[in-house]
Amino acid sequence: MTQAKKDFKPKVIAFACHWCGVGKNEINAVEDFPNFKLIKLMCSGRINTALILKAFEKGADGVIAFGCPEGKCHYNFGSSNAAREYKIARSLIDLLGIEPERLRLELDFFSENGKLDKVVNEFVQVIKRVGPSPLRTSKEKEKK
Amino acid sequence: MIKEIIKHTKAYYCLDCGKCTSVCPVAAFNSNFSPRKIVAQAITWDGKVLDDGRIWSCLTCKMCHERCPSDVNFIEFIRQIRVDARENGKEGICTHGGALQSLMKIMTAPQLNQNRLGWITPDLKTSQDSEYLYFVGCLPYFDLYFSDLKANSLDIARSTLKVLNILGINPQVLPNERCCGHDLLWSGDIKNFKKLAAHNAAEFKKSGVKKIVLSCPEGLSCFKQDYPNHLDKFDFEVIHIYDLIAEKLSSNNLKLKPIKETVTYQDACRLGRFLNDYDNPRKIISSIPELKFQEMKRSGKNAVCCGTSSWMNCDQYSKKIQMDRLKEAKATGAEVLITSCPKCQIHFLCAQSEENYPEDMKVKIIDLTTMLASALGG
Repeated sequence: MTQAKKDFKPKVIAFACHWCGVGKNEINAVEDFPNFKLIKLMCSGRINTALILKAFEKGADGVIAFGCPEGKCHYNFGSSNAAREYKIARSLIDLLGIEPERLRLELDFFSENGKLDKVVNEFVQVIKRVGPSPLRTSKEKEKK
Repeated sequence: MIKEIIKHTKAYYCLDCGKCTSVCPVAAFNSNFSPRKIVAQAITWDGKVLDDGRIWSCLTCKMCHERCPSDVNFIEFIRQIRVDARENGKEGICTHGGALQSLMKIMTAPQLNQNRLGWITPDLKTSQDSEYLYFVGCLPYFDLYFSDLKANSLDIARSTLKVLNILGINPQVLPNERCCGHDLLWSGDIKNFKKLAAHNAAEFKKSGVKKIVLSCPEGLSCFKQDYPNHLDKFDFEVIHIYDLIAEKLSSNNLKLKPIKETVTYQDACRLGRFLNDYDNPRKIISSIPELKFQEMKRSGKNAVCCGTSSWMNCDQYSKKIQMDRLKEAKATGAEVLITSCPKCQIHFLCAQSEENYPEDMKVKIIDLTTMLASALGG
């Protein structure tokens, strides 16, 4: 592993639904991750292709979204919306040449003690293996 | 500088006659919008026009410029005003939450390696060293993003490639061409437009092509009129697929199967008023045996825009323009509305997918190249 790859701290954006139980404790646990930003939403149904693409456009290395299981959404259809948008967004980033592993949707996620921490950690490891986003490297090169 | 823009686009010559407003498709439904008033506002109050949200509602369809007795280039005026407004932190309302704008901006990244050639089926022939290039543009993205409308934009790409093969051309199709940047240019984002233009020009140069064939009118007008203005060097021959087809039709070399349908045709702003191509599409339509062609009441130079442009400010007035236009198409007695621009197709399909859209008012919307490809068999 090269030094640059070792030093790589992935920028990860997480979208979390208010009702799937991401509480203060869990947030505190993941706040220590470098370059990690958690955005709380009232429902995973708010997540759309545009939000996901915007995150990548602004240089995110990975985007992960949490929501309630389909059928158990607080607003009935929010999770199905999220699943549909996720599918489109995943195909779009694949077309663009951004690795699909950089995007993940966790819909069977009901936060238990330390689970958010575990999932995020695992996701960060995946992103570390994939490397920096092609958009980020382009931007950094431009700056130089 | 607004003064410069006014001078450059001859807005000073405005006679206040209001012809622009009377033909403007937006003003027909939105009484708050008036090209004449926007010009008057810019001349009298200088900077205030930049804060006016209405500058983003213009469709840049060129109908006003077509009618203006003083030759005020209103759409160029709007474009430059938008550049200034953007520099002051203003922006139009991006339709679809800005997803398409994000796609365009992501494509400015130099190190992107797209996977955009999956649509080419084995029966379609391409080559690595042809002097012809087929520029597909955003069709793979539209096909995916508008899959719920069943727009199937890639049918246009497949049909174009098929027609090219029949005409004896096996063009290059580049794996890493970018969006042409048309929408960024017209929404005032010159910086990102220039990036895309430079990428595309470099890709074309690297591939060694001399002639670029397009199926999209927006890309065509962009390559023909805007790239040469914004790039130091862009010396490729830009050809529309209709030109190639019409040329072949004149020498009677195409065998076309009959299609028994009544059709009407929607002129795209970029192909019609921008590039003055009204005849070729009509020539192609009339060449298909047994196809009955009915002209809409407002057609050719007077054709109405499809309601939205640059994926921006799509609102209730856009929907009204689309409904009105579809009604006009239906009134001709046609079963099929032929479009030449993938966006016209998407916008009309979107209007027809509205929940309260009457079932008996629906028409089939097909792209001209797709129609021709089916007449050629397949």
